[in-house]
Order: sequence, then C-alpha cells, then structure tokens
Amino acid sequence: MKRNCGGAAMIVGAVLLSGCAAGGGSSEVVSTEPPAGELRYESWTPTEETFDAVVSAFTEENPEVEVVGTLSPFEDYQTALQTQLRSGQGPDVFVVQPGAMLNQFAQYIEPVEAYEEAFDGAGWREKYNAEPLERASVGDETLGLPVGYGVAGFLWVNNTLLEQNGLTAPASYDELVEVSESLADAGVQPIAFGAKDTWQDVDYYLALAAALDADALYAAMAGEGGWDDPELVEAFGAWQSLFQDGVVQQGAAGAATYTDTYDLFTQGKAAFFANGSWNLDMYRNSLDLVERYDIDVMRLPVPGSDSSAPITGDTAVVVVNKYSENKSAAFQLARYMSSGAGAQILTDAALDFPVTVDGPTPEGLPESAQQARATIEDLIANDLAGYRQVPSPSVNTALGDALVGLISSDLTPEDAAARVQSAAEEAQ
Amino acid sequence: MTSGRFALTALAAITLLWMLPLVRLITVSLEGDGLGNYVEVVQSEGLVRYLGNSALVTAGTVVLVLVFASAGAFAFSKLRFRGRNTLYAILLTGLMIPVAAILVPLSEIQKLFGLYNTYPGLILPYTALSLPFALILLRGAYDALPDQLLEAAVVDGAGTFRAFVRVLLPLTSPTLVMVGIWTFLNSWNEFLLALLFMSAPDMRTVTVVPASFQLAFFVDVPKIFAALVLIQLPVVLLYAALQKRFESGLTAGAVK
Amino acid sequence: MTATTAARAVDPPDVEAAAVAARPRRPSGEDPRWRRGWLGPLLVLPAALVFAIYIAYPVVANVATSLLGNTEIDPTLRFIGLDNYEWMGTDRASLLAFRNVAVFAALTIPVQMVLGFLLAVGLRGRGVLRAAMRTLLFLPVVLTPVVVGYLYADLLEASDGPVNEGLRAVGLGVLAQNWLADPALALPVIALINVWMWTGFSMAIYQAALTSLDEEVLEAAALDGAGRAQTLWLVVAPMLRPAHFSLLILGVIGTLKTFDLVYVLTRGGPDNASQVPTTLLFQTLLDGRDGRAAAIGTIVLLLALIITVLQLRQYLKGGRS
Repeated sequence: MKRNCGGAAMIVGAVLLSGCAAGGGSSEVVSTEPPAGELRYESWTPTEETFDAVVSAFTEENPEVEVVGTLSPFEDYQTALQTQLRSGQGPDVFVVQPGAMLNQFAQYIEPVEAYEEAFDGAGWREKYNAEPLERASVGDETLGLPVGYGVAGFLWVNNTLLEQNGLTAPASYDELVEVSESLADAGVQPIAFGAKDTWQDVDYYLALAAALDADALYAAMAGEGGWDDPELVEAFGAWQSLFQDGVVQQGAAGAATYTDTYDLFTQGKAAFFANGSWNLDMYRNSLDLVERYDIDVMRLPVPGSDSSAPITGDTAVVVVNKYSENKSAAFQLARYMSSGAGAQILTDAALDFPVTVDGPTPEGLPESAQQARATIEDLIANDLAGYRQVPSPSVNTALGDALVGLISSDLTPEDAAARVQSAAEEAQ
Repeated sequence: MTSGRFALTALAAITLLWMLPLVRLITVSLEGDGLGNYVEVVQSEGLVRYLGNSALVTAGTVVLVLVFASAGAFAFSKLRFRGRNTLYAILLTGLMIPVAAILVPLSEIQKLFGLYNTYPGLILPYTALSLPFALILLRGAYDALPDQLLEAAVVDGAGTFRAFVRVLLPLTSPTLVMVGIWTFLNSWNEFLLALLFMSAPDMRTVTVVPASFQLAFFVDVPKIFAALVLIQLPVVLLYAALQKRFESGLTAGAVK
Repeated sequence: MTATTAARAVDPPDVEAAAVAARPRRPSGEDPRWRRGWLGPLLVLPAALVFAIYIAYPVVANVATSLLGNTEIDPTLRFIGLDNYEWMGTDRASLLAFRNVAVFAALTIPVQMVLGFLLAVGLRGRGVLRAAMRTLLFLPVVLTPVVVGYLYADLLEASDGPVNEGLRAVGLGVLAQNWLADPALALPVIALINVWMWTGFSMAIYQAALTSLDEEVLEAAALDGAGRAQTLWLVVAPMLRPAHFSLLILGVIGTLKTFDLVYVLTRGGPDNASQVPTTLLFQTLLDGRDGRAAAIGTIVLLLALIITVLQLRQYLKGGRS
C-alpha cells in the first residue's frame, strides 16, 4: 500500500522524508525538535491508569504534544492493529512482542537507529543490556526500543500453603508428584495452570525443551533444525505428562490465566502458579490477597529426570509506525518509555526488570514481593536459556495448537512434532 | 387446536429453564455491591458515551435502510425498467455475504473515504448489509398492495412519486416497523466491524466494550455482568415495548 | 423471512419467475406510463450505490485477492493462481473448518426448526400466559453474541461454573466436563448455545404462519378422526412449506456466516476443534496471509449461492427440500 506523498505533514521546522514508497531509509534527516501535535498510542499494556501517569509526566515535560492512548486485551489489540496498519490508519506508537509479532509487523515499523543516533549520539547502544536490544531487532536493524524485561517458564510457590500441609517445596519431579498428591488430599490444587492460553503452553514447553536440549530447540526456532529432533519430541512427551501425573489442576485445559488460575493462586487455593515474572504485578493489583503469604519462585522440575528447567526471557518492544506523520514525536515517546523517566513509572507499576544498564528498580516494592523478585533476578543471572518468543507466526500457532492437542485429545508427541515441523517447512 | 393444560405446564417449565441463564446474568450482576455495581459501571467507564455511540450508529442505519429499501422495494415491485429483475437478484445475494470475507477490501474503502472512527464509517456498511433483507420484506409488502391503488392515485392527478409516498408507503407501516426493528437489532449487536473500525476510545460502540471492561475490572465478575446487562437493556426494552407491533407486523402480512 | 411471504402457499420469497407468473397479465402488452420512466432507476439508485460500494466491490476485490499469495517472510502479494484453493483443500485447519460448519448446520437447523414448530403449536392462541412465554422465548434472539459468549463462558466454566457445580451437587460430578475446552465437546456445545439463541426465531416464524392457517381445514381433519399428532404431521406441517423453506435457507446462510458466537466462546479452538470457515478466515487474515483469507471468503460465498439455488429449485419443483 502506498502512502499519499502529498499528505505527509511537516514537523515543526524539520523536513522528513516520510515513507512515500520505500519507507524510511538511512538518508533521512531526523528532527530533534521537542514533540508536538497529536500522538496515537495503542497496546495491550500497561493498564490505563499507568499509561495515564506516563502521559501526564511526558506532556508535563513536553507541553506541545498530546497523547491519545488505546489499550485493549491482547488479542483484540492484535486484531485492530492488523486492519488499521494495513489500511494506513495505524497508531503512531505501538507495542509488539519480539519474535513472530515483530516479524509480522516489521513492514510497518520505522527502525529507530537513525533517531537514537540523533538524540543520544553514536554510542546509544551502550545504555542498553545486550539481550533486550537484540530482541528488539530483526537481523542487524534495531526496529524498536525494549520496554520491561520479563522471564517465563518457572513456577510461583506459595510456601505458606505448603507449610500448612506439612510439605516443602519439591526439588525434583517425583517429589512434585508426591507433593501434588498430598495437596489433593487436603483439597488444595497443585499447579494452577491456564492451559487454555496457548502462550502459556508454549512458555512451559520451551522451558522443558531447553532443559532437555537447548541447542536443538533454538536451532529449530531459528528454522535451522527440526522440531522432530528426538529430544524435542521427548519434550512434547514431558509436557504431556505434566497433565497426566496430577501435578496440574483439574480442568487445566479449559482454564485461562486471567483470571481463572490467577484467582486460584491469589486466593490461596493452589500451591503453585504457572505464570511469568510479570506476575509480580499481583503485588499491585491483589496486594491484600497475597501479602499474607510467603511466596517465592522455583524452577520447573523436569519429568523423567532430576533436573529443573531453565527460563526464557523477553521484553516488549515499543515501535514507531513507518507511516506516521509525526515520527520524531512518536520516537520520543517510545524513548521516554524505554529509557527515560517513563521507564520508572512503568517499572513501578509492573514491578518488572530493567532493559537498560542503569535501569530503574521499582520504587515502593512491597516487602512481601521482595523475596520472589530477588529469586527471579537470580534466575535471570544464572538460568536463562535464551529468548522466549517463537519467531515464525505459523510455527507459533502450530506449536500452540499441538500442545493443546497433546493434553486434550489423543495426539501423540511424535505426531505433535510432525505437525510443528511441517508448519515450519511450509513457512520457508 | 390449542394445547391442553398438561402441555401448557410443560411449556411453562421449558420456558423457565430456557430463561435460567438470563436469570443468572442478573443475579451475578447484583452480587457484592448490588445496584452499586451498576452505578460504578456507569460512572467509571463512561458507558453512557458508548450507549450513545451505538444509538447514533443504529439510528442512522435504521433511517437509511428504511428510506433506501422503501424506495427500492417500491420501484422493484411497482415500476418497470430494464434490468430490474437482474438487479434485484444481485442485491439479494448480499444476504449471503459473511462480513469476515470482505474485511480487507472494506477497510481499504474506509481509508479511502477517511471514514475510520466516524459514525458514517459504520452506518454505511451496516446499511449495505441490512438492505437485502429489508428489500425482501418490503417488496413483499408492496407486492401485496393491489396495483389499482396506485393507478387510482395516478389517475387522480398525483405524480407517481407522490402516489408512492402519500398512498402506498403509509400502507406498509407494519412491515416498516419490522424492518426497523430487525435493522436495529443487527446494527446494535454487530461486533466485528465495530471492533475494527471504531477503535478510538470515545467512539466505541457498546458491543466491543465488554473486552475493555475486562481490563478495567480485572477480577470483578459482578461488575462485568452489570455492564453486560446495561449493554443489552436498550435492545430488550425496545423489544418489550414494540413486541406487540412486532408480532402484529408479522401476522398482518400473513393474513393478507 | 417474513410470514408475509412465508405464509403464502404460492408465492415463495424471492423468486422472480413465480412472482411474475402469479401476477395477472395485462390485456395489452404495454406498461402504462406511470410504470416506466426514470423514476424506477432513480428510486433504486441509493440502495444500489451503497450495495455496489460496500458489497459488490469488496466481493470482487476479494476474488481477485484470492489469486494472490505471500509468504511469512515476505508479505508482498504476488499472483499465484489457484494455489490458495489448493491450500484450502489440503490444510488440516481448513478441512476441519468446513467439516465443522456442516456438522454445525446439521446440529442446529433441524433442532431449531422442530423445536420452534412445536413451541409455536403449543403456545398458539390468546392468553396472557401464552403471550408471555412467547415473548420470553424470543428474548435470546435479540441478545448480542458478545454478551451470550461471556455469559456462557462463565456458566460452563470447568472448575467452578454453575453447570459443573450443579452436576457435582447432585452427585453427577462425573459428568462435569471441560465444556468449551474439550475438542470433542466444543463444537456441540456451541451448537447448543446457538439453538438456545435462535429457536425463538423459528418459533416466531411458524407462529405467524400458523395464524394464517385455515381453521376449517383443521377442524375437518379433527372431525375425520385424525389425532393431534397426526393432524400436526400430516396436515399442518405440509401447509407450512413456505415457512420451512424460508427457515432452511436462512438457516444455511446463517450457519455459513456464523462468526461472533464462535469467536467469543472459543476463537475456533481448542486446536481447531470448533473452527469454522469465518473464524479461520479471520485468523488467517491476522497471520497476514491475505490471499488465503480471500480464498476462504470466496468459497463460503460460493457455497451459500449454490446451496440457495439448489434449495430454490427443489422448492419450486414441489418436492421436499
């Protein structure tokens, strides 16, 4: 779709070569004027309240600009974003997940390198941690700015609940099975798992696969290896056994994380919870429920072995619309959220992890949250297997579907692997 | 041939059972805070604004559909011109179009006319989608009116158009009511286009609101249900109020 | 379809030929002046224009797009001929979707018609009670699918939703299922919800058709010694052929168009178990595969057209659809 060249707006005092036909190239002149005009922001995150706080801080510093934010649940957001972008009605600033989503929307994104250089000089990369920045890139080009690093593939543990039933946190899978049995007798759910959410299923599959053979996994993710690698097939089997050995709650296949299993855990009805580090925000949203418990996190024990699974990590990526008429301002908002004062506001609300070297730590972190957060920091430092999002959209879909099929129909691990593999081959 | 007491009791039981889900909708919405749930929903999320948007879009659609379809149905039924039958048949194929199938071309048209996040941006597609059914209903109504009526009016000196508006159109009012109600229903309840083409926060219609309520009322099911009840209320009230007309509209045509 | 057209035994809803045939022929071959002229085209112009822009053009554009394709890596669309249709014929999700929509039609249309018919017969006549019941039973028809979706998602919640809790309370806990997450159950359950929503509509159509029935014929049948059930089956039902026909056509088209309910309840999952062509189209579109989505849309439209034409022919021949 071509942009109407005549419609490109002029930014205060600057000339921008906006995307007439081929989109922004490296010969652009970037405006560093303070942001002005109207900016549209769309995303599934953060909450309206938090975003309003970011906006008011941003507009206080930059009174000439007006920001209009639209926040929707993730799937609805993706839907709306797709049609809007495709007909040139997309927002100026939006957020994507790395991997599949970033690849899918790359054609609509204005790379940030030129802008960063204009604002922060040639050494702008130094202020970021390497991994988040890589996730915000496709190939060598940095497309967006990372916001809020998070990890997944581990378990939340309610130690209070375990102690009440005379149990301790399991160190191996067999122990987990035993603990789950005892919990069941006491009417407590073991792992609250929202298996209806395919993104959850993928997260924990990745953890298990990385435990068994991380190289094979990441080769397959990069399209260089096969999903039918024996270790990966074994991982499908391990995933399946989670749901057969009673370590996961009844009806997990139909439970959604928000809010079915989230409720189970925060209300003290389940001893473990399958969710990522972003779940720290339960200390904001449900503090009165969870502060009475001694909560920590632990790695997922791997079925059929004595080991525990590593974690995978990712950020969200704030990007500028290639066809925006206000790109410089849009960039400045993105920058504000990623490495500016906005990052602090976001971290305070989400309680997540920094993407910059001197990144913000959440202020006013509730005491009850500190233990879990510290353990997560440890995990990030020591047990990070790699990135979290599957790069190919169709493989991601096939993987999610296969994982659901493994636990709700008679799909076998071999067939599951074959399905994902054929999706991968077709995507080439 | 009416049913006896036994059958009636059985039917009453069925009706009761049938209504249980709706009963639950109401009882859950009153949990916790009772009517306070409703108050909070209206206050905190600007539900009134969304109801207003839906009302505007729906009203616009109903007006356009009634006008266009009446004119068209009259012409198809009473007038003669070339390609009349073919055109009618083509217009009727609109009945079979799944909205999802024309999403992308539709969104490009929206962009072309600059109609994203505007009221016409929804009113026009809704009108197009409701026209086929409206045409069928109204054409049936006009077919049922004897040609003599029109002839008489024309002979009396009125132009054809005048005769149409003054004489025939009023006679189709039961069907007009039906078409109006049906169009109202379909526009109010429409989900997909509203989700995609009215994404600006203050322009949203009422069908897409539950999703955003889930974000706002994170864990609060009673409040979400209260919102759902409020969203349905206008349509249910309209139905309750016009239900007699609705039924008589159906049967009036049948008796003829 | 309205009873206006449905109740007429001779005049089927939208068939030009029959309608023209039924109208008395003019003695002279010429139309009077007031019929001709530019008023006709002028009056249909608004409708035709809106239709052309918002329906005709998109359909044509859709067919054109269905001949284009792209890959995941390169989103530009190129001409690929009929490859998208080939994909539709071999891809697992696509085959499941079309199978599901057929199953869905079989599960919903007959049930809605039979139930609607019985309810209309049973609730026939005057009386506050009957009128009230008719009103209530029609109520689900006016609900928006989003509300129905949320409501039933909550009702059918596996761990502590009322349906399962109720079953457990009466000791039938073993019957408690993962209603919407079990691949074997998802589609039938959605079909059931659809029946709940739409039976009232069938009932209303039949009810209107029944009011036009000739009481004398019914009395004659009763005098002849025909029992209730016999009268219903052998006399009444055949007299309502136009209503049956309308409901069948509307039912098929409606099923092919079903989107909102499935999308809100399961989005087509789990693992494509409740996928229907429209939801698959939507998902394919979101994945950026425009050509494929357009192909699905074209096929759905074609199916609707063909089935409608076939049903029409059957109806006109006088045989049962």
